[in-house]
Amino acid sequence: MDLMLVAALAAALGSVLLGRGSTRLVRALPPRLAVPAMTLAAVLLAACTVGTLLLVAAGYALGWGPIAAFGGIRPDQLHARLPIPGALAAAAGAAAVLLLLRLGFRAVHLTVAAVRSARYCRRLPGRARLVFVPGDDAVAVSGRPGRVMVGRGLYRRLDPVQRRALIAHERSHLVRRHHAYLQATELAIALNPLLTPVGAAVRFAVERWADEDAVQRIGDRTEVAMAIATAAVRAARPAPAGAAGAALAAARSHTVGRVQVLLADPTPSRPLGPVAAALALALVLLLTATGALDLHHAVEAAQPAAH
Amino acid sequence: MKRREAGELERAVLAAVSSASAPLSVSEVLPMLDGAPAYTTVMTTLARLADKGALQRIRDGRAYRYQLAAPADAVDSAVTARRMGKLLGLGADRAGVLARFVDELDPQEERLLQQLLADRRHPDGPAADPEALRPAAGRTSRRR
Repeated sequence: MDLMLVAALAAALGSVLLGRGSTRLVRALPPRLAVPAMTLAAVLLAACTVGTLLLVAAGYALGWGPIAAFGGIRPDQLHARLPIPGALAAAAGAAAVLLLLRLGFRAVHLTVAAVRSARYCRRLPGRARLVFVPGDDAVAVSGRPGRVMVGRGLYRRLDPVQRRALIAHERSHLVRRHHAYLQATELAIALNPLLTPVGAAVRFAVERWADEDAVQRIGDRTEVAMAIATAAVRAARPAPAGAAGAALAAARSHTVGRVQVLLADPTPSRPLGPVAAALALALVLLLTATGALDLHHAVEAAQPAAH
Repeated sequence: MKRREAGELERAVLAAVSSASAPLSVSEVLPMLDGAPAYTTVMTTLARLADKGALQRIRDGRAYRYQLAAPADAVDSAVTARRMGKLLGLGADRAGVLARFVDELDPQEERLLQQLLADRRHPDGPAADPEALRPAAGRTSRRR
């Protein structure tokens, strides 16, 4: 079978496997490593998937009448070297175009959200990073600079150590630029929907990262766990109606998982899964590069007139 | 006439309403403003401030009266909260611009966490099941 097809299948299979394993993979590494690693893996796999689809389409299209004539390519030679069925090439090309359109729409959406969020941060009262607001929730909003909004209701219910844990957690989101990883992951998912489960895994790992920063800050895992549990139990009271309530209801709970990890003894990381995943990713990258080279050589060989 | 900046009129209107002891109608706000803005302009501004959550609308016959939605120092907060709702409506969680401290729990998860908190507040009470929250059984307890 043709190398480019193998590469395309490997990229798709790799994306499915990364999606299925993502929850376990992010738990196998310290979150400060898991977040960048998983984000990078998702971005690379998404690029490989669309890249290999484009290669398959190009391998056929370059031997097509007008294009072949323009490039001085002999179609019979190209097709002899790259026997890609026309229907398959057309499907690959159409899929690539659709995925790139999805990426475009998502990029516009993310940009609009980022601009609005930055404007929102500028207009918040005061200059301090921390803003108290009505409500029973706490969020970090990205911007330049980003802001931490803490609901007064929640703040009142926490004891002083838990308050410090909460604020350290939210500050970590801003200082570590967690929104950049989340946005990159969303773009990768737009480009390759097979990666969809990776989104939840990265969101979980980002929260874990901020939790670990809070542990560093106050020096007590249990207190951080208790701050999360206290906040979560309050936040589970009837949510306000309207947009905020809808957004809350749509989220799937990572909270219990975070409390579990904080209360468990720190386990030595077992990087076997991540190492295997990295090797598989390297294989996909290698196959994609080889596929691209293969196409390049095939086209050169079918250009008797050139050079 | 000099063109006002959009925010300038809003601030003036907000100041006028907050200086009054009772809810004001549009025609009562009008003479309190510099530069003789048009009636409809002030009406629109009041309506916009109400939409933003800064003012509260009170029906009075066929017209509206306006008062601050919250005590003066909390108006900023009310506006903040309203804008927050809009940001969330945009799917800000998914768009990566917003990270919440905790998310929604289902009833079973909430019971687990409540149990955990109760145990901690009354450590000598009836022993409920702290292990339920631990991912792996058989590890030695580290809780204080």
